[in-house]
Formats: sequence, C-alpha cells, structure tokens
Amino acid sequence: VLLVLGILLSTGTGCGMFALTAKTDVGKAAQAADIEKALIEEAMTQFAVLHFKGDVSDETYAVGRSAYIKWTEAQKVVAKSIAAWKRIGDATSGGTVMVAIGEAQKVAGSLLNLLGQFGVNIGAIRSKIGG
Amino acid sequence: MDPIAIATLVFKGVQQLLKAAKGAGLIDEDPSVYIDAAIDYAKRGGEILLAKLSGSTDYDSLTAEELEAQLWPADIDKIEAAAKARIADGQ
Repeated sequence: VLLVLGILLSTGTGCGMFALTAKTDVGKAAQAADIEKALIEEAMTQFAVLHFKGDVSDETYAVGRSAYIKWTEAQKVVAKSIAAWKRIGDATSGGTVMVAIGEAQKVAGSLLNLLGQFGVNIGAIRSKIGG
Repeated sequence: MDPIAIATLVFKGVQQLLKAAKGAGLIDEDPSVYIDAAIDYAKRGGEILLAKLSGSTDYDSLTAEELEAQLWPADIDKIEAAAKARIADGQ
C-alpha cells in the first residue's frame, strides 16, 4: 500500500498548494485522492469556461461533460472506500481503496487527455495545485 | 510555543489545582479523568484549527465522515456555475 501511495504522490505531485503532511496510510491515500480531485475539478472548470466563451463546441463539450460525470462516479467510490478504510482500518479495506483509486485514475486520465486536446493547460494546473 | 501546547499547559495547571483542592479536602471527586478528556479534545480541536488556518488539510486527523466529504466530487452543475462566475468576473 505504501509503495502504491508513494508512486501516486511522486508521479506528478509538485506539492503546490498541497503540502504532503499525511503520515498514516489512510491519510496518504486521502491526500493523493484529494490532489487528483482538485486537478480534475479545476481542469473541468477551465474547460467549461472555454465552452461558455465559445472556444469549445457543444459536441466536444458534451463529450467532456459526460466523461467528467463518469469520473465523479468513480471518485465517489474512492471517497466511500477511504472512509470505510478509516472506520475499519484493515488491510482488505486498504486494498479496496487502491483498486478504487486505480479505476478513478483510468477515467481521469482519459478525461484529462481530452481536456488537454481542447485548450486546457493540464501542466499549468498540475504545477499550481501539485497534482 | 504553539497554541496547542499553551492550552495543554493551562489544562494541566487546572488539573494540578484541582488535585491539590482534593488533597486538601475541598472537593470530593477526582477530576483527572475529565481534565484528561478535555486535554484530548483541546489538542484535537487545536490541530484541526491550525491545519485550517494554515490552508492545508490534516488528513490524518479527519474522521471517516470528514474524509468522505473532503473527497466527494463537485457535481457538474457546480462546476458549470463556477465557470460562469469566472467569466462574469472577467477571468
């Protein structure tokens, strides 16, 4: 679990507004998931701005919007599984969290790739928030 | 000295006074257990408060419910409202 968290926090985590303060496994998982959440929400907000300004077509925006909604479902599973891990605290719960984070990251990767193709500067957001 | 340490010292001072009062026969019950609980609450509350004031989240100290709320994603309507607000603000 620590190895996976280490990878999550080291790949692209620049510690912008997220100082790496968590010490427990649950805390580290929550922090990694929160960084990813901040990155996705900010990227989607910028994408929506581009759309409302007329720089992104309705069709393209609909694809991104749908992908974001799909990500929110995966992120809700992450949130619930981490809360369950906090309550129970066993290795099985930790494993469930890692699976949930992995699934959410797959969806997030596709979404970020799409948003990046249509004018959202993902690298700049990563630098800003540390994601 | 940080605020948590100061608050802990104050509680410990009160604890010593109450122990002395009990020793002198001025009070009957041992207040230690209540004071210890108060110190624990003060420490935890202080840590959360400091984390909020510093702008960072103390993930280790959050309860299961707080973690779930922290990690719960913003729905698309909220995202779009934020985008419109940015445009209105000229961003």
